[in-house]
This record gives sequence, C-alpha cells and structure tokens, in this order.
Amino acid sequence: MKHKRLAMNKDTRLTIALFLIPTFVFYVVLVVVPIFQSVRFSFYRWDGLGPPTRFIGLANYKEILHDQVFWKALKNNLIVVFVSLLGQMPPAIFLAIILTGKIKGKSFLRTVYFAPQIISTVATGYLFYYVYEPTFGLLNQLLRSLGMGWATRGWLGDPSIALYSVLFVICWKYIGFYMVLFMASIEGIPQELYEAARIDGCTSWQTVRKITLPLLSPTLKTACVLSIVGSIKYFDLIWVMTTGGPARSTELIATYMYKKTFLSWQMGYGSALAFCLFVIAVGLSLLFMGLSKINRDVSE
Amino acid sequence: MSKKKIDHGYNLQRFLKYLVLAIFFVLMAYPLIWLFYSSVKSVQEIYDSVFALPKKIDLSNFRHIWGSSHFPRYYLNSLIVSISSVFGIVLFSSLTGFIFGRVKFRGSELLYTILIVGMMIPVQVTLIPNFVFLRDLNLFDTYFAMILPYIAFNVPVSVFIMRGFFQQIPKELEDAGYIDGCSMRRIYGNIMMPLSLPALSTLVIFNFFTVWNELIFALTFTNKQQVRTIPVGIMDFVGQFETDYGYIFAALTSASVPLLIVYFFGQKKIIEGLTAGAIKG
Repeated sequence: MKHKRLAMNKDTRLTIALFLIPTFVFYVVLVVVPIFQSVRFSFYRWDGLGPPTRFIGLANYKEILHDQVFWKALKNNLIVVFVSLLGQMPPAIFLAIILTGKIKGKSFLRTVYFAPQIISTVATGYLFYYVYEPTFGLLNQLLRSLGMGWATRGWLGDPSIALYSVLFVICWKYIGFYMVLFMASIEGIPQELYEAARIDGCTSWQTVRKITLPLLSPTLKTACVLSIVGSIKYFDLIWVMTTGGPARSTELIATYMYKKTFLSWQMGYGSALAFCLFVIAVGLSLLFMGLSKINRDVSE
Repeated sequence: MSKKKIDHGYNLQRFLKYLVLAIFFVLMAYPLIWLFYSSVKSVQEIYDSVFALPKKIDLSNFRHIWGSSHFPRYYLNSLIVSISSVFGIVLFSSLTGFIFGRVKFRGSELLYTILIVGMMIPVQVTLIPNFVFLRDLNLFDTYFAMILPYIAFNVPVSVFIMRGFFQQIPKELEDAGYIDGCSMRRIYGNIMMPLSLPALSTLVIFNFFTVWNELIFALTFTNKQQVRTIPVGIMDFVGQFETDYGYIFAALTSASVPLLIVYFFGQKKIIEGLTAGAIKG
C-alpha cells in the first residue's frame, strides 16, 4: 500500500512537471530573463553589435533626466492617460446603461459599437490617416461641404492638435470594448434591487446613481487600470499614424524608445527608456489602486 | 396635467437616448462603411468626391492587390503564425491551467503568482533582449521570431482564464476518476480537458485576434516581406502606394472584412473571448 502510494506520487509529480514545463520554459526564457537583461543592458553604452562591453553605470538614467524628448514624451503619455480615461469611460458607461435597459435593437447596436475593436490597429490607423488627410480626407471634405472651411486643418500635421486627433481614434477603438465590460457587469446586478428602487419611486437617474454606478465600481476600477497601463505603453496607432511627429508632438515613451533602439541603435539608452516605461506603468497602476482604496475607506 | 408633464419629460429623455445612440452609431459605423465602399471606387472617382457612393462596383483595386502584390503572402504568413501560436498557447495553458486549478503542491501559489505577473509587463521592456536573443539564434526573419514571443506573452492571461474554468468543475467528477484508479494524466485527458472545451474556444478566439493584429514584435523581429504578417505588411504596402487610394482602401478592406464577417456570425462568443482576459473580478 505504502509502496503504491509512493509510486502514484512519483507519477503525479512527473505529471505536474510535464504540464508546467512548456509554459514556464517559454515564460522564463522570453519574459522573465529579458526583464533582468534589460536592466543590465541599461547600464551600458551599446550599439547592439556583439555583446555589451562599455559599462557606464547609471549614466543612461542621468541622461534621461536631462532629455527634453523624454519629458515631452512622458507629458504626452500622461495626456493619453487622462484623455483615454475621460474619453472612454463616461461614454462607455453611458452606452452600457442605455443598452442594458429596454431599448430597440440593442444587440445590433452592441455589435456595431464593438466592431472597431475587431479591426487591427494598423488598419484602423491608416483608415483614420485618410480620414484626416488634409486635401482629400473625409473630415476636411465634410467641413468644407458644411461651409466650415475655416475649421479645416492638417489634423495630423498640426503639432498643436495631432495628439488629440490620434486620441480620438484611440477612444473610437476602445469605447466599445469598455462598454461590453460594463454591460456584463450591469447585467450581473440583481434585478430585485431595481424593482425595489422602482417601488420606492426612484427616478431612473436616482436608480443609476444609487444602484448601477456603485455596483459598477469594481469593474470600473479594473477598466481604469487596464486603460492606464495601456496608455503608458501605447505604441501602435501613434506609430502608424504619426510615428511621433510632427515636431515630437505625439511622441510617447514607447515610440521614442523604439526610435532610439531600432533606428539609432542606442540599445543601452533604449533599455533604460524601456525600464523607465515599465516602472511608470507599474507605479501609476499601483498609485491608482492605492488611491481608489483610500477613496473607498474614506467613503465607508 | 401633472401626468402629461411626466410623459413629456419621459419622451424627451427617450428622444435624447436614441439621439445619443444614433450619433454613436454614425461615429462608429460610418468610417468603416466609407472604407468599404471607397475600396470599390476607381482612383478618379475617389478624387472626384470622397463621399459619393461608387457609381459602379470596380473590383480592379482588389484584383491588383490580390493578383500582383505581396498581399496574399502576408495573409498566408498571418495564418501560419496565428494558427501555430494559438495552438501552442492553448495547449500549454490548458495543461498549466489544469495544474494550477486542481492540484495543490508546495510552491504552487508562488509559481502561479510569478506567471500571472506576466499579464502586467509591458512588452517594450523585453523587446531589446528578445531581439538580441532571436538574432543570436538565427531566428530573426523567421516565423519563429513571432511565434515564440507570442506564446510566451499570451500564456499568462490564458492560464489565468483556464485556471478559473478548471476551478469551477465539481470535485466529484475528478474523485470518480481517482477511485477508478486513473492517473492524473488520464483525469486530465478523459475528464477535465473534454469538459473545458467551451473555455478552450474562448481562448482560441481571444488569442487568435491578439496574435493576428499584433504589431510591435512583428515589426521588430522581421525585415523580409516573405515572413511578414498583415499588420506590418500593410505598413510596407502603404509606404509603397501612398497615393494610390484605391489600392490602399482595398488592402485595408481585405484585411478587415474577413474578421468582421467572422465577428458578425460568432459575435457572442467573440465578445466573450475578447473581454475574457480583462475581467479579473
């Protein structure tokens, strides 16, 4: 008996190992080890050819602190964080509340609002590149035909507005995604609560404020963290539509890091930038989770 | 009198609701519809008016990009890379999710936490080491340069989803197997894995869309058109044909329409799949 149990244990242990090894080999080799290597590379001046040899300590990080472009990019990243939160969450919540109510054609509308999420970011980026195109672009043509020729501009060519033009597209793409998250959460709220509210004579606004929004807040918090981390590491649409230009007006840390690394081949500096991005992303989401916890404790 | 006033307010509210829905409908749908009908206009027609519907359906743009450009190659590459990656991700995360969901052993919590932290890591922080690693293994410019990172980066969230699913399966089913003297591998293969098919299909969808649309690895780890996938392919393509609007619209349409068709038919599962990784309670 004892012998048999031992044998089974051995078999079980073997199975556990067999089932975990492939996952962890991939994960450790291509995710975990590179993070540490990235930190190590950031202490070198290195053009990427051969192994890194010129150890310069923290010099790359010192340079970052004095790098105007980095601060510009960080500022743009923070704009992306705020505009994404303000431009995606309220409309997404609003649409989710309407579409979970009694409304005609709601499944059709949900399908349409989610559709931008299906299309690849690259296709989306070029689609809007041609919407914003100054001469033949859809937007300027529309403005002209409405007699608003004064409002036309190079939406991606004008440094004062390019970032917001791209941000509109980011919101366009993600509102449907967050809307669906919120719809799932609202549909999970027990109907009895709404019935009780109705019997008590609550207006629909009161019901939303007292029942839907409070019960939505855990999902909202998750959504905000997703959006913040996503905004800090954002790359795709900016790279496709403006590659950070004009005049760095849409430069983000991720695009700057990419240019430094793979266009100027300053791989040590690129590694340092990547590590800063990592720290900022983790830091901001921890900060947000901490703040919302304090907020909750205070309101309780 | 007062009843009438309430009705009036109610109607106004209803009107505003539908107005907002209509505005969002136009905002979300029109750019896509515009793209689709522009792709069957000739270049001259596009220059004449960007709004106008096509006078006749002109498929020459599509004939060009499917007949004499790299586009079919990109499509094939995307299929190869996506199918291989999704296969690897789903297989590995099903095995690992089963262990983390059903088996307690010393250190299992720690291992799981280490893996799950991977969901938070921005890809940029691994980009340079992986570039060097893949280059040194002579994997740069091969399908593996994409498949291997795609598996590594999508396994954490997929394990998370699978573990959640396996935890919900009643313990009795498993116990019955053990009483019959099944080994753990048999329990997985004969009982657990078949039960998890709905979750596996969610994983397939979730990962297929993620991998199919992935840009930054494909951009960084490949250079040749022979291996490039659609997202990077489109970038090359637009660089080449910048002012040939017809070709570009046809390429963008070709890249998007198959996904949208699949989406319209399987939308319930697809929406569930694409949002599965986001809901962590």
